[in-house]
Amino acid sequence: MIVDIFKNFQKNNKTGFIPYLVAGYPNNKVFEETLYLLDDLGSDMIEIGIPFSDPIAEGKIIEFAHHKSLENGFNYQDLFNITRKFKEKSNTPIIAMGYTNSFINPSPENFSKNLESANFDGILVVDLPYQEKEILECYKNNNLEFIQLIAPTSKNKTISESIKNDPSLIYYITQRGVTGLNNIDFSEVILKLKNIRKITDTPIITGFGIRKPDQVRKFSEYADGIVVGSFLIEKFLTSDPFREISNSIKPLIDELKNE
Amino acid sequence: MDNSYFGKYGGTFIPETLSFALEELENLYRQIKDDKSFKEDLNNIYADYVGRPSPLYFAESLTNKLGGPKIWFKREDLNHTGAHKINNTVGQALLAKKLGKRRIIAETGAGQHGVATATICAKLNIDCVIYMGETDIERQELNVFKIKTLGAEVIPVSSGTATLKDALNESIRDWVTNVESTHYIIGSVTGPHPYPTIVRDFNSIAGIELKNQFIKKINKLPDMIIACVGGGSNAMGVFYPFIEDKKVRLVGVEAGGKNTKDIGSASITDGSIGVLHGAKTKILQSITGEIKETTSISAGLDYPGVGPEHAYLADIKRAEYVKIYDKEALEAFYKVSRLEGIIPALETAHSLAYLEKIKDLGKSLNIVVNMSGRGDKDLYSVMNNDS
Repeated sequence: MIVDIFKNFQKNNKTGFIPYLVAGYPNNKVFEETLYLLDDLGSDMIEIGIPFSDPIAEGKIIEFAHHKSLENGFNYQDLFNITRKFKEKSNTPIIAMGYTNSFINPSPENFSKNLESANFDGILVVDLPYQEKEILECYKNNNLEFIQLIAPTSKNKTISESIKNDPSLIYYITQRGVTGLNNIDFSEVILKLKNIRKITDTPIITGFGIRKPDQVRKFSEYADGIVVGSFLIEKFLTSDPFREISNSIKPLIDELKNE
Repeated sequence: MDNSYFGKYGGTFIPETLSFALEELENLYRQIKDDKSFKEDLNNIYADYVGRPSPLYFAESLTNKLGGPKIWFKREDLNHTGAHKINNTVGQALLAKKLGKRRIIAETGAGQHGVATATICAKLNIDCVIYMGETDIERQELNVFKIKTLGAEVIPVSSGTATLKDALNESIRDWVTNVESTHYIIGSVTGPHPYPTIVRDFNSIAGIELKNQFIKKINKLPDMIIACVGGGSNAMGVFYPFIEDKKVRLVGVEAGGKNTKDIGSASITDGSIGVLHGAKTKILQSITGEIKETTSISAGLDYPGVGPEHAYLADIKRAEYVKIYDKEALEAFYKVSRLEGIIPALETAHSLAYLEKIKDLGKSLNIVVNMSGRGDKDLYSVMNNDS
């Protein structure tokens, strides 16, 4: 279970590393190989973005990846074949991250069953509010854990109400804005993380705009997991993405593992 | 939560960063909407700035030509800035002032909502940024220039289809980033709760006036009200005050696009349930939930979703929704221009085209078309379409 892995980190003062990929980007083959590469580098969970035509929380880099994957003819059969195979070889949890419309079509029942049979461990739906309990229940009933997003602007009431749904993790968004922006206010993030800790002992992961080892170091004191997305996705635009990913991601993971 | 839904449609499907702003907006709106001084401010602006009440006009020549029911026009096209859009923007701009927001953003497709937003921002001295798809910027050069003349900034959007839906995405991204200083004026009865309710209420002034005008003129209610539906704000505005008057037929006209084979923009007639831009509603999408690229000769109707309350009214059969194709709308555009001396917006021309389909109804009936906007903005594209 995802929750056990991160509770364990919490208990032992460790911090997990969580990379984000977009399914089918830049193509199925490179996407699949990158999954294995990130696993080998020591990822503790992998987020897989479900490409969507209108990804409103994404910055330019990830939005481009969503659109490119769709243009390339993204389809679920390919993705599910890749994840099934991956999970036969690895225990690293995988999360489907995306937008509500992908998760309710053709129906929540149908899509949650598909994700379960494709060996996904959980979901993170960017624009699904905690009040939509029916949809969340449906995913839970199909053995998918879920992650609750909390923002800098969230009220304490939202935090305490949303954890009543029993999320496995809280994902704290480090900044106001879309993914990949570069204006994290450290002191605010730390204040907010401490505040969430006071309200719940649900493990907390954090992300949005994280690119540097010193950021990872600072946040690891307060978070149980660090998510890296745009910084990773932009490497696919280079001539040797595998090498670029190894070179840039490894220092971040080392920073966490050497705690 | 319950009041955020119309039947099974509506809700607040937005990134968590925005939830406090929607809550803040809802709370303020609830406090203020029946507040005497707010209503007074709004009514003064409606009267002296927008030019309300808009006239109810008997379209005698068109009535004679069609040879069926009596046709009336509710003249929202005579409002300041030339369409119904201003009813909503002045209301929301006053709300933004009360919320202490110093900056307003809005998306626009045809440019009418952009112009209406920039107009009231100029009057109230609020910073204004308008997001507009690059494709629409090319098609609507004049409105872009109008918006800039009014002192607002136009930010071109090149992602996706570079049209209204992408301008909306970009506005939401701006709002997520600047949520504490900025109010987002959504231009239709779409988006997350409480927008569909607020935009409907501000547009309802047209329906309320219409009711009074009809009773005064012929001492009864109309038999049918026709309005075009893209997102659906002008239609919701004239329908809403008549919902309980069950004998009044309410007809929403959607854009069918080029022909019966290709996809148009008729989300209620052709769509299925999904979530787009914060609301669960009827949308045009693939089986796995990818939003489709829509088409329509009218930029204001060219949108893959529809206000959740319309989806609800369709479900409970309180309103009927029909489709009109580009060619039919164009014919009505010319016909009404020549018969009545009123050049309608292409959006409105869809409603007018529907009159052809009901001309065999009894002559004693009274039918109102909500003239949502005037056609000045469309002359350029009609000219190009003809050549």
